[in-house]
Amino acid sequence: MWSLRLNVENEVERLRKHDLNALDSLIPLYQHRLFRYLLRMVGNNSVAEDLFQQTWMRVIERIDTYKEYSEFSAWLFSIAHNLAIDYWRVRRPEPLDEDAPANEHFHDRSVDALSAMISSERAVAVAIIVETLPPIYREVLTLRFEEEMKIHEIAEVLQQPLPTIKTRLHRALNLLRDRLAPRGVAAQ
Amino acid sequence: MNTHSKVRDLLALAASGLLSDAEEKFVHQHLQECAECAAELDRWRLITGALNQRPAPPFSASLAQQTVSRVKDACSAQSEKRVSVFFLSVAIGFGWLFCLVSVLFFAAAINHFSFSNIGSASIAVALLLSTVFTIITAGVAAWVLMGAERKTLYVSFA
Repeated sequence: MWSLRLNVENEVERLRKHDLNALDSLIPLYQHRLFRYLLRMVGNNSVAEDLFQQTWMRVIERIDTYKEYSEFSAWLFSIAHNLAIDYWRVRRPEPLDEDAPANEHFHDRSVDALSAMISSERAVAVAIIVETLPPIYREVLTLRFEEEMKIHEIAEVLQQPLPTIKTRLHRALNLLRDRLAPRGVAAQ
Repeated sequence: MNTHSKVRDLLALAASGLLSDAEEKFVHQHLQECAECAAELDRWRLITGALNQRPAPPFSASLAQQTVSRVKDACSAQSEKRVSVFFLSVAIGFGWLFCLVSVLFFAAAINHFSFSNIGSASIAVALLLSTVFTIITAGVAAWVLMGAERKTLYVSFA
């Protein structure tokens, strides 16, 4: 863990000196996590790929502001968060705490969800329901449970105080559970 | 709110590992004597456990390489743009000087090529004309450059 951090710091230092070859080793360290987070946020593969690339372009542009953050990953995800929020605001003007737009595949997939429940594939069923949650709730659930960030790291990424993050997570979990209840997932 | 209700309210966060030490202790004490809350915590753990195990989305192996190429292209375009802005500024400076000298020569020509007869009013007019010309030229150049940037942004979002 310590050596990974040292490695990241070295690569960041190279980026500060405008050595773009540092990206060759920095991107692979975060690519899966970053892409997964963006995909969870925007729900579209090609948009997530574009935002992934824009995130790294912004890393280069703003590398001098990184020192304000405790971890490179928190800074990286905060850039991705801002880009995803911009995307939502431009493309989908409804408030970010509203439900995700009706997914045309959702009804078909709810059948899959049912079979997933029956075969105890709870994770698949939960993943499908999470997609229907408002973006701000999907985001905290992703950061906490997939990215396994601590609450202070999530607060850093979202630039919100700790109590706000706790409240948001609490609401997200309750909403998720309410939506899972009719499908019997939470009761199993 | 009694202890039971307070603990029930904390169970979702307890299953998420987000309680403070004091809250953790408070919940733990209650769970030892309340089977209902213990069962409720187990149900929350089923959900949070499933959140941990969501299937990973497919990842394009070439994305990292494409990203590096895009970043490098953008940086070289940026430095080219910086160079072109530099040359443009130099050109505008020379343009201003050229314009100023031309107007002064024109004024001198009107006065039978006698520079000593050029009045302060002529110099002021020369300065004014060359500055206006320079501002218009710089404005058009800036508009063209910004237009190119807007187009790039639009393409990247489209």
